[in-house]
Amino acid sequence: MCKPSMKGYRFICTRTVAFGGACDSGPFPDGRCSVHESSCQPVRSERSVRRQITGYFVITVFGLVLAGFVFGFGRQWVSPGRLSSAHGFIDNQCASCHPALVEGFAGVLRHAGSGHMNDQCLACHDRGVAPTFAHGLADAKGRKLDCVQCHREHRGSELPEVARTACQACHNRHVANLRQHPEFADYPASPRVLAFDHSSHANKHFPEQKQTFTCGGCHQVTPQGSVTIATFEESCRNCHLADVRLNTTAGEAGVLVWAIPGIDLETLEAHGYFVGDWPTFSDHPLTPFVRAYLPQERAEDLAVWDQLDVLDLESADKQQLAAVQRVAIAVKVFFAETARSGQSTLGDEHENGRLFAGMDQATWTSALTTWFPQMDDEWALIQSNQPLPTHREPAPKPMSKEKKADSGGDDLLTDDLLGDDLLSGDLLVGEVQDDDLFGKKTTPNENITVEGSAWVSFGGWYQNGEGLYYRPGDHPDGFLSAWSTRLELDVFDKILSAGCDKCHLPQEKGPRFRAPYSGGSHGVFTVFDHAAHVAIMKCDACHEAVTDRAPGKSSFAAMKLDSCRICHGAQDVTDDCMSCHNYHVTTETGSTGSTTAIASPKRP
Amino acid sequence: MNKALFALFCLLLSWWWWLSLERIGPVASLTGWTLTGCTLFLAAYQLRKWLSILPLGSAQQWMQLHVWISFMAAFIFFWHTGLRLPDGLFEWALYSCFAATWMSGCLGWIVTTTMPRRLARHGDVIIADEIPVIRRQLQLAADQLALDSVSDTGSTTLAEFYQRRLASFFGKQTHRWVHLTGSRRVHAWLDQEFAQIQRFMAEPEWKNLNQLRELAFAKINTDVQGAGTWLLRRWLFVHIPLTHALIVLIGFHIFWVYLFNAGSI
Repeated sequence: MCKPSMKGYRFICTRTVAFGGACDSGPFPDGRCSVHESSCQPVRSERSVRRQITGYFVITVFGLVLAGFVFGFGRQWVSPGRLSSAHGFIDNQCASCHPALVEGFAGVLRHAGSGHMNDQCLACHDRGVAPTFAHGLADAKGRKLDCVQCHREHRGSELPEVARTACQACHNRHVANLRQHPEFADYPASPRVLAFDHSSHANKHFPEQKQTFTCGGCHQVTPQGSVTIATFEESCRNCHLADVRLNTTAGEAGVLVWAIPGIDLETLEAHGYFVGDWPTFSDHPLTPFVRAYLPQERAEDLAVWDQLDVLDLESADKQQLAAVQRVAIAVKVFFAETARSGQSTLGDEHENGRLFAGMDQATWTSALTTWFPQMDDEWALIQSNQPLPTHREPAPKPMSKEKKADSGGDDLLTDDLLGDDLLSGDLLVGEVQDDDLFGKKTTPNENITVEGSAWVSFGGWYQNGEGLYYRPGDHPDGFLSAWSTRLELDVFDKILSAGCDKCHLPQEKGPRFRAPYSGGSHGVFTVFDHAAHVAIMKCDACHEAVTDRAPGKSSFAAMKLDSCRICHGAQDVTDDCMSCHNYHVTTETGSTGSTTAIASPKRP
Repeated sequence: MNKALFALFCLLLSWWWWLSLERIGPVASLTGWTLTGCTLFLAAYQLRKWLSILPLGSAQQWMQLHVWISFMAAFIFFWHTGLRLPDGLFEWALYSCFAATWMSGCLGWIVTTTMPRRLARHGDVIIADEIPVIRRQLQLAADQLALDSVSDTGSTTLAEFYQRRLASFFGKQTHRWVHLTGSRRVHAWLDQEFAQIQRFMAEPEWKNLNQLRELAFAKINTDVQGAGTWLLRRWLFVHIPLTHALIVLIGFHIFWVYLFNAGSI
């Protein structure tokens, strides 16, 4: 470093030789060095300055945000958005739905991922027993969804509509709009409840009765948009009551319920298997009702019975004959116990009340007296486990005029009827006299005697021969309704052929017929507001009746989506999925209604 | 190559669109993560320089991809936000930061594509690092010309004019924003100044005056080049810090969203 020094009255340069020696110009008069050497001042490059600025900026932002989260925790700093008006009552109580917030920021960190949100929603919104499964159906392929996956809160006063893409995530047919929607296929090809032939009623039956057929005659649209169907009383009774009462059925008008089965009594007794009194004229089978009420221990015997032709037991062995005897005695005991104890013998009221409420004592005891006139004596033997005697032919029931005319009296003179027992006084029961057998006036009230089935023309129980019959009275008939849900389906053949299945659709599983019409216009998956539509269009714009209805199929042609597309997707009418379909198919109580499925709920 | 790049870009876009259709519920998480990915990719623009040893394509291709993805990011951003304004301060910061970053990027893109042509149209293109040197040379030349005019003509008119009106003009970069706007106001000002002083000069002084005029207009070109170069470099001083800050804010946002995601708490 140069440090000029004063020598005399002048400053002189004292720079050493090592640093270049004294300079030529020497110091200034005031002693300052005349040689100015600027120092090196490095300057940052632009890139370096930029990095520096970036670093400072990022650190500042990070610090401010972190401080905001830690110290300024609240809606002023982080706001998820305003709640919808539906949840407005929650106001600022975030912890109502996010309970972890009670503990502040630390609580949020601690409970992250605990997933309580569904519980908070379901605390108020009851969505059945499997609310988090797709559509609320536990069998929906096990796929689970959170409420918030479709329902977004904090989006302002209105809850956002569920996006169409939410449906497409599973139903990925990519139905972007109604134009891409699959056709209805054969909907409504299968009627849900009644097989009502609209075409034949409109074009044939109503004109024959000189009546006008209109949709409104049977259907009404409710303000809620569903469609009601008139009851049997309102719409069908006038024409179809005769069908219900089986008036149009060939042969016996009633349905055989209880009967004494016919057996080869002669062979049975020839081998020493006595069953006591037994109506030898019976050729009825063992009816399902009688079979159902026989004791359980007769199951094996019944199996043997089924293998035999019980009206011809000549080829049966002793064991089979014994089984037939036991079944016959069991039948006899059942009838006798019922006569003595009443309807309670037939089981508890819950199961049998609707079936046998109308079965009266007089009919039953009269029948029993006719079939088993010595029942009191035989009952004592049965109770003491003693063998029953050989049968004594009971007097046949009084014959109707028609039968008498048909027989001409000759049949009554056969050997069977002229046996000793027949002529004994024991068999003359009630008002029946010997003269009955010879076609003479047999009862004091013969002139007012009518067929049992005719006598109960309003419906009820009656005896004919060796059977007790039931004739339906009105619709719905309690006995038939109860019967349809309990006993073997094939016994319904007679009833079905008589007319039930003209309207009621049988089903293979569960109750014989489908559930009564609920009055709805759609299944739980679908929504259709009939009220809004009938205001601007006629019913047949969508529901076109067909004349060549296939059995069990709807009397309407399959609906065409084009009829929907006229407005929906055009003319500013929405065609969103949710405008026609429901997502939540369970009711508030968790039960599932009918399942009219979306065109194809399966993932294609 | 650009066509292949564009095809790849379209393919990625289609795949992403298909993903968005397959989702149940709102696509916020998909758009959010896509936006995050876009931001990180855009922020990695400098990677090409750092990894120059790898064949990562040319700078032009990267720039092209950078621009495409930034425009896609803007589209996804509006999809993600649902065109709603934010509520909380943090969301405002995030929203504003994204908007500022995107707009600064757009500005930079416009500048980098238009400014070089503008500078070339204006005059001789000067390398940015030479601008201070040339400016100093012009200043010294002007100083010397003013001194020489006194000895040459015996008049101090030009020297006084230079001292009063032009010394500060030659001493530093001036009128940066005027030049950035493309205005020729400075040219007009100098024309006016020289025309006025010429009336007070004798004809022998005009030679020096004309030389000074040429130096002044050369200085204008230097200033224009300097202003353009300044903008070409300095917009990154806004864009890059904002980009990094945006990444920080996105990190906080993701953290916060996933605390509450799908009712997790």
